[in-house]
Amino acid sequence: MSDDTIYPTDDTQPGSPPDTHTRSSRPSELLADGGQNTGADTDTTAVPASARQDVLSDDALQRSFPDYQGQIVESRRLPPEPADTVPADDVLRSELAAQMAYDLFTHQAEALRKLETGDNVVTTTSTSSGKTWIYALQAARNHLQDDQATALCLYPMKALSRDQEQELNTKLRDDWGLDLSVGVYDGDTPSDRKRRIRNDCNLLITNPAGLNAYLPRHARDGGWARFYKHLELVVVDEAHEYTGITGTHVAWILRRLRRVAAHYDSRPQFSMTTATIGNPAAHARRLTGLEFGVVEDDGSPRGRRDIVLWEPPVDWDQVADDDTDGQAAPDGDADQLSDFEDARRSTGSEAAKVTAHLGMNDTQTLQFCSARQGTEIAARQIVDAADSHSRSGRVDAEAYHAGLGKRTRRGVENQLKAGQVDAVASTNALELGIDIGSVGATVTSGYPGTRQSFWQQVGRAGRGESDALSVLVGSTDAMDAYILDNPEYLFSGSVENAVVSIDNANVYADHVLAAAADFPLTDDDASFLGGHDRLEGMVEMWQDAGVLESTSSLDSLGGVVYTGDPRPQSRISMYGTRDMEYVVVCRDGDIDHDPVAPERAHRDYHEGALFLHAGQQYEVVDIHRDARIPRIHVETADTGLYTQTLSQKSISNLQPRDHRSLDGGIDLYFGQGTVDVTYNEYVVRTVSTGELVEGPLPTGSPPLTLHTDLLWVSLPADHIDTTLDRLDEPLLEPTDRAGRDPLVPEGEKRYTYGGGIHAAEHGVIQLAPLELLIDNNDIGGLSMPEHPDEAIPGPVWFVHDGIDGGIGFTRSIFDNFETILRRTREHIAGCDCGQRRGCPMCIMSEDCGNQNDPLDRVTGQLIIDDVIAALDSEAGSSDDESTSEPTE
Amino acid sequence: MLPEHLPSSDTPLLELLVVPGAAVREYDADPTVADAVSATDADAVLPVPPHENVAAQRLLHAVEQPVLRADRGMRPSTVATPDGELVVVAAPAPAPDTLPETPADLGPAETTPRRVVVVSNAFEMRVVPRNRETVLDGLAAYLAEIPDAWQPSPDDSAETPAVVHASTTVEAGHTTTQQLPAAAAGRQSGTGSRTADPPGSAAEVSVDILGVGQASNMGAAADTTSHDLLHTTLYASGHVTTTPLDPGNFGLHAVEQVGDARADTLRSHGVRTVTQLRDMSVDAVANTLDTGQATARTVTTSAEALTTGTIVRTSAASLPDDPVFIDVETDGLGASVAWLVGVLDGGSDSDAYYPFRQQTPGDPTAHLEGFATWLQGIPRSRPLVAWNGYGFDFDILTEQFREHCPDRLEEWESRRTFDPLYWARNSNNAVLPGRSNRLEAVAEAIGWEPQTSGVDGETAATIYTRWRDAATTADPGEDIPEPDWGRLEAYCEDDVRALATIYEAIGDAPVRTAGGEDDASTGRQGSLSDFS
Ligand SMILES: [Zn+2]
Ligand SMILES: [Zn+2]
Repeated sequence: MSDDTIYPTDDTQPGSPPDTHTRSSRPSELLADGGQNTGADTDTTAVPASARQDVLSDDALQRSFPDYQGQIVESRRLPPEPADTVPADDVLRSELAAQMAYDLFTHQAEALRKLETGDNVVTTTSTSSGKTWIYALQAARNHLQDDQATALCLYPMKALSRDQEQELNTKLRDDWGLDLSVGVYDGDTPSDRKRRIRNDCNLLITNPAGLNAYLPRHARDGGWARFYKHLELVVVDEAHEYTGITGTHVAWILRRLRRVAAHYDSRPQFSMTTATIGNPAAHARRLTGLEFGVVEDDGSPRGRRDIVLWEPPVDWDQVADDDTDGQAAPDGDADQLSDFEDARRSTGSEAAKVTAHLGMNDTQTLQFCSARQGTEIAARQIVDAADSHSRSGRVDAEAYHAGLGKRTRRGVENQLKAGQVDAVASTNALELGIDIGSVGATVTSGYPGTRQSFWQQVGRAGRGESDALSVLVGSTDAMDAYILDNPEYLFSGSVENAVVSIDNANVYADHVLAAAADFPLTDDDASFLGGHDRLEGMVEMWQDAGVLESTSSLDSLGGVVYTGDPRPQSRISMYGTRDMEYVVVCRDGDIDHDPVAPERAHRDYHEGALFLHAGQQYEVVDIHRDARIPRIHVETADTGLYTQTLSQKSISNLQPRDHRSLDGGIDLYFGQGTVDVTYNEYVVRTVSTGELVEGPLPTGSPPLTLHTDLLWVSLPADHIDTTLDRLDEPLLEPTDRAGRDPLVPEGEKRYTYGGGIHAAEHGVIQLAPLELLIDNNDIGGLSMPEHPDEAIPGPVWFVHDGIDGGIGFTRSIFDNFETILRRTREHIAGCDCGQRRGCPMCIMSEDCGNQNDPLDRVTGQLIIDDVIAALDSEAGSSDDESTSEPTE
Repeated sequence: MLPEHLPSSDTPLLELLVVPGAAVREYDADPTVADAVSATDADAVLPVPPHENVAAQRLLHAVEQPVLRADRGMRPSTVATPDGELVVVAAPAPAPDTLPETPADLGPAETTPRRVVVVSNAFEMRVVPRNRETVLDGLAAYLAEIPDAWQPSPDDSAETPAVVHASTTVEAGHTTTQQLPAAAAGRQSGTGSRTADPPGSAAEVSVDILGVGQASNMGAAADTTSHDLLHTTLYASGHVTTTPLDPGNFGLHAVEQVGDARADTLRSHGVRTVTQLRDMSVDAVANTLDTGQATARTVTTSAEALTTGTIVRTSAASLPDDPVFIDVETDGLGASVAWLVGVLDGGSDSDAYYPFRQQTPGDPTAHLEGFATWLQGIPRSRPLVAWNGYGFDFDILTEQFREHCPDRLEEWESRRTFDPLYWARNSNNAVLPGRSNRLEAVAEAIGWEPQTSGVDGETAATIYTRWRDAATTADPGEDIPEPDWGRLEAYCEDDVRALATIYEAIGDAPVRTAGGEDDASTGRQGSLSDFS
């Protein structure tokens, strides 16, 4: 291993260094000895280096893949890209440039030049493009300028922190011979080591939740005071991770950091890195409140890359609960989702077969499992699949996830690097920049939800100019179905926008309080903390509540002092927008589960709920709501059953903030309102047939009131009739199922129309993540033929943030509504199911609180068509009042 | 209610122990809460949410003092001072059925109380960040419900008792005076006088509000899952102080090395009180708890310290000689200033108490300079001693020197410091008898009595901040009313003398090391290697 390569990795370089230290010769031969066998057994012909593609050629698959049925629906080859470089001494001062064995990639040079002029920089190049170099070199430059200079590096995961500590130490100290110290400071750091780091450390590594807790310590500790006084660089790595609720908290923690630094007369520069996202400058600004220069032209080299889309076979005859063919379901209470629940599980075993096949062909493969799948199970499936492969041989497979001990994880990382393991089944933990060297192929089991994430996974195969292969094995939901039908979506230029909002009032209020505990608030803080008016209003609220000194004001001499219970920042949950979160505790084993916001706990973790986590089924047995730390107690289960939560929801107090008045009496609104939802009942069904086993049973979940962001599409009162007039008679008949379901609205027309508008609501929510980095588990919807609000004349459908106070998701859907709606239309129309009620691959949703009833695919299309037509001829007004932060 | 001007002296009239139901669920009514009642000399206990009804049931059996119930019941429960001047009445909602017609009807026949505190759960404080306001939900409806004579009225005559409206769903210790329209009934009221018309306008009445419990919708401001007991003292002046008490410091939990599991084990062997535990032999404790001799010895020693109000040293380590005691007053927990540095040079009966106090609102430096200059005359060998100094005072002073007198920082940082709390608790050198780590609790447990009352750190901070703010907003040349500095300096003096008392008691305390023999002679020696 070479210590002086500036090879395009965020980490160390596998294989031997080239003999000659010139940049232009660090090419593919460097990887030729990287442990990759190019598959000598396959039919390698005159075309060189395409062996891996051949492994998945129709020929090869027909010959050796068990029961191959033509699963490959798309195969693309991306051409190689050469490296683009700049001599190091063009950019760096000579003493540093002299330490560089290679030239810099152009994007590294560009970022360093921007940093030199004082700009903040966000770099959004590919996974292995050497982004660490940028901030390591900047820290080095700062150090050479002033040996007291400090830097703060924030990583989203503890595992990443340890990895980067080693990496930065190697670069800065060993390679470049600098006398500066690097230390990880988090909950795992022993306290004596913490003291040493505070007192001496130049480059401190932690995570945002840790920083939230450590910020107020500056006033009590000379070490922290020293650190902030000399703080010149703040690194925010993997910033695309900070979206949604977490993003909102991180945005305020970073503002509090800037405020504490300013208290010590420091104005640190920010160097941010993110995976490829559509809006790097805006995202960086939202997270920090600062302007950023963007570096996105990737100068790192890339080898040839094959991308294969693989569709597991779905047997439509098996799935038939289809009115169109006159066949009723065997049991009236059966649920169609069950077939897909089954199929969804089989995605994992299909992926394992592909991974095994690649392993058998000497291609080291990293398989990314979905959140529900267990990596241990997947690893076993891979070994088993290899055993039943047509060719003889075996495949070694290991599991990797964040819940493993540090040593185990490091062991697997090393095995990967050394080529000692054929296949590793991993969670998305390995998506981030942990050093695993180079693998030959990746298999993604189920679309990871975003293009950003998908390409991040793809980027894990093939370092530098070596060739690589990536396979996406589709799962059975609307997004996967859309992508397998529209592969172009993956390859088209744009990627999703990261969505983060600082508008959530609850989160803001809590961080204002935490900031007051960092040190007293004054007018000078307005620029960090949301502007004068917003800050003053919130300060007054807390003064009235008795936790900020009530006789002072922002222009008082000593500022406004925090007087409440100690450590308010410790009561901020990074997983929610209220002051509480539930922790998940397993009674009969370990479970590595993030804390759960109440909004999700009430729906998915009520007593009796069954859920899959990391491949293991669990049952919720007990909930301690008023324990010191609220707890959800679970036990492992293996039932062959699943649960569905039913809900009752109403929406009121609508306050439009933004309005588009469209042709034909159609109106599109964004605003705030009250969502009252009770997850009051649940049913238990069998996985195999969907048969109702028990229920509805009470959940015991208390009612939930959300004051949150909504968008709503309001249609004219006569739209029901005009739509139904366009339908053929058979489509006006309720389905057999509808006739039996007491929850379905009365009246054939209402059933059919209600099913249509419900389908439109589901479709938009399910496909929104195709445009935006949002988690649609945190989005809710409601559709109804009429609504009590006076301003709503007729049918309406709502989309709302599922989190109290809103997290910007619905706002971003509103801003991209046309694109999302067009995709929804296209997808619903094209679904292979051909069923009137649709299927989970188009309009059915497992989060539906009404058991996916009523649903009507054809009517849904008509409704969406009308809205699209109205958008096309939009002549209406727009009164945009979206909140925006004052410029800082 | 903090009076506009602190009276020159104040007398505690009634002591309440506020008990969140969660504390009773997690610990026991008996002996934990019962022990806390006797330790605080409480006149009554008040169960508050969550689960206050469960707590009330259990407390009725566990304590002799009245249990005030604001949650349910047919009639109000009361507790009064012996002279009947102050009455606390808990009135289950809806109040009209349960409150007597006038507050005067509460007292014994001939006495009319001067002040009455009505406790209910009828209104709740919560914050509404989206509207940037704090509201008292249900206050207006509550006021509309209570009998006329209990209503706040614009014309306060001395004839009628002053009524304070307390709620178990407002954060304990929180006080506010609300200006409400005289006909406020049926409306939700915002809090804070800034939203209302100026006080005194004809259509307005003042309502005095007191929090005696936990609010549940306060964002990060409040620990809604806290199990702390709250010791609330009502003073003659109308001033109220509230001190949180960790229930883990009472009952068997108060004993060092005894947590939930060991307390359970002891109870299952019939050991329910600390006194019983003290009377057991070390061997018996070791057997019962299935633990080693060293742990068992700590248990019995701690039980002894607690029941006899003495300090017991558990190591041969000694205290440094010639201490200088200091105590710092600040403007709050997230302190931006140390406006008073109280110094006691010598023992607990020394005359040499020096309060270095900020004299000018805009100048946080001069008195620090004064302190630093005085320190120069003190030999470096003498340790500066502060209670919880490593957690608060020393850090604050370092920060203040860094910010305001950087040229004094090095000198300050070179001084020897010593924190007896840290030495005793964290370094396991002594067992203290207090029911909390608070200076006053430990000092009072060994028999020290304060010379001042009605002031605590929070009150002092509030008074200081008011003065500073008044000065900031004053017109040029305008006179700023000075607080009673003497009183605040005396409070600080109390604290350093309490500290000196504890320090001396530690020095005189018997030593029980693993050998078991008492040895009081190892008191203060010259060996200082432990404290560098
Ligand atoms: Zn479908
Ligand atoms: Zn639905």
